[in-house]
Amino acid sequence: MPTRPDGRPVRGLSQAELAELARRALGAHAGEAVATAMPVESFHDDAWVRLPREHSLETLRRLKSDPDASFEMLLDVTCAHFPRRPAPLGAFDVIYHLLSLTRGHRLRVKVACPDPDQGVDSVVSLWPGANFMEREAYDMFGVRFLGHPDLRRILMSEEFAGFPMRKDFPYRGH
Amino acid sequence: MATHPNLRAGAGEGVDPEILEAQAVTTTFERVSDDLMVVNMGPQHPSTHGVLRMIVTLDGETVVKVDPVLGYLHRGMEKLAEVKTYNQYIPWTDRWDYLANLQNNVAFAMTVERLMGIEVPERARRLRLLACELSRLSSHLVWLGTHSIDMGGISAFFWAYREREKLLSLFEMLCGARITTSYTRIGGVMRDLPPGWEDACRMFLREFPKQLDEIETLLTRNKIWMDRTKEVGVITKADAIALSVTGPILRAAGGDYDVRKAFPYLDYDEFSFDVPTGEIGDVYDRYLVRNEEMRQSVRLCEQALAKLKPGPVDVNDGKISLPPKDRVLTRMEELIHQFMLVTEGPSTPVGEVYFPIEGAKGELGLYLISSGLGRAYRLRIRGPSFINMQVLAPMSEGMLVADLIAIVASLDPVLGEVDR
Repeated sequence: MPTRPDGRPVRGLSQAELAELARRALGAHAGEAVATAMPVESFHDDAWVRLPREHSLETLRRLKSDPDASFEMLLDVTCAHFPRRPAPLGAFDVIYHLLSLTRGHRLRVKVACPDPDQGVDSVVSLWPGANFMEREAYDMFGVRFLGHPDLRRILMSEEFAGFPMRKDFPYRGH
Repeated sequence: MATHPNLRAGAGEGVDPEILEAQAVTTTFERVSDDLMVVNMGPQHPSTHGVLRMIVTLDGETVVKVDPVLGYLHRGMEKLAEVKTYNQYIPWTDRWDYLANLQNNVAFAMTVERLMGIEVPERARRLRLLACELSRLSSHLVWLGTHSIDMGGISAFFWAYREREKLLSLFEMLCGARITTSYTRIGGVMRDLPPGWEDACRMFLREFPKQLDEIETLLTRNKIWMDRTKEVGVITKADAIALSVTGPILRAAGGDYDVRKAFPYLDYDEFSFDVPTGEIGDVYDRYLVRNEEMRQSVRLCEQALAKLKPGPVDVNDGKISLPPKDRVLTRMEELIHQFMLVTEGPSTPVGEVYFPIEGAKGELGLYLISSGLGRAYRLRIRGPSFINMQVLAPMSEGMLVADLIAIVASLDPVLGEVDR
């Protein structure tokens, strides 16, 4: 196995082990039943977990402080729009990419958001770096981030109408 | 005009008046109270490195608050990816970070290949590594030149641009374009090296470290340079991590995260190179770190040239990369392959990948969701310049206006990547 200059292994925990850690973090907050039902999906050697909207902030907090996971850095927050996806998942996914610098692993976490106006909890209180990313996601998709200190458009101008990255927004002729 | 078919709402209708007021600062100076003054910097200001606009609140000459206003170069790069086939999209990748185009080409092609589960032949990997490292050199040279001109040092600017000019000539030999390179294709690179390129590259790599030494004699121990950059724009390692900062800015603050080491791609784990880190995290440390990165890039390029063996430069699979033209004109199957690749794009599985590379500015991560078509369902570009822009306010508040110029230069933002 290749090692880093300081002797630590290049890769930390496996994706399956990380999904188990996420399940533990969710269970500690929301109870065993919710944790058992947490979906884990994978593609190639990537895996991702889907957290319930109402428990996302607490679970991410635990994932950040859990010494085994220790996700000190939030790499990215973004959204994806699936206009025809039925309930309970609904039309929007909020997608987090977490990185552990000390352990050397990364994990993708998704939170379904059926109603963009109700949105999801902001994670700026955990990772201040989420500020611009959540502003961009709001700007492009109109998904609100509850508790964000300064949720306004960032790339489009304030008077712009509509959310350009939604699938029903035309890619030209607007 | 109630029946007008396309009458848009007037500017500012239904928007919080306070926000409009803050954004409407277009006069150069405005005194908002006895002590404070709001100054608008940019978007057309030479030291903002593009169309960065900052609304700066000043107390005398001290910066009280900085609010970067972004989006002047927003072209909807992520939206465009949803309507272009993967190969059609490659020219758009040139326009993300337009000072390090080749690395964007490589990042995008590799993301799609990761999605399709294919690996390109060894020679293509070596060429891509060369492309990545040369574009890092080119990007860092622009940073070095413009940084020094921002500080009032004209000579280093000319010297750095002279070196970059040689690099652009190499790019032109490589793919026919100096800036809009579009060098990669899904499944390989556009063509093999032209005759003489390896020698020209070796000559550049031999000369360049000496030229870099010369530039450094102008700056590194220069008293004015040190006064202007030391202890200016400091960020601690903990703050940098909390603000999701990657690349040279994080490393100058002491974080040793480099995607090439942490999650090797393109066989970076077979090459020997060091990751320089700083201690204080000020403008001067970022200057030292980037200079050392250039020397390490030269090392990597030399090794890649030494390891470069003859071989194919694409996967030679008609369903992924374009077949040779003479066969397209004479054979049915290749004709169909070409037709399908050009009209529909390569066929991909349903799935999603996140693929990061160590760009010149930090972690350039591409998150691609595929619905099984020849184009992306959703492409997210994690532009490091955009996310690194968040440190601008904490770094500059409490410093002087002149320091703000030094700080912006040391962040090395490229607005094509900030606004996408």
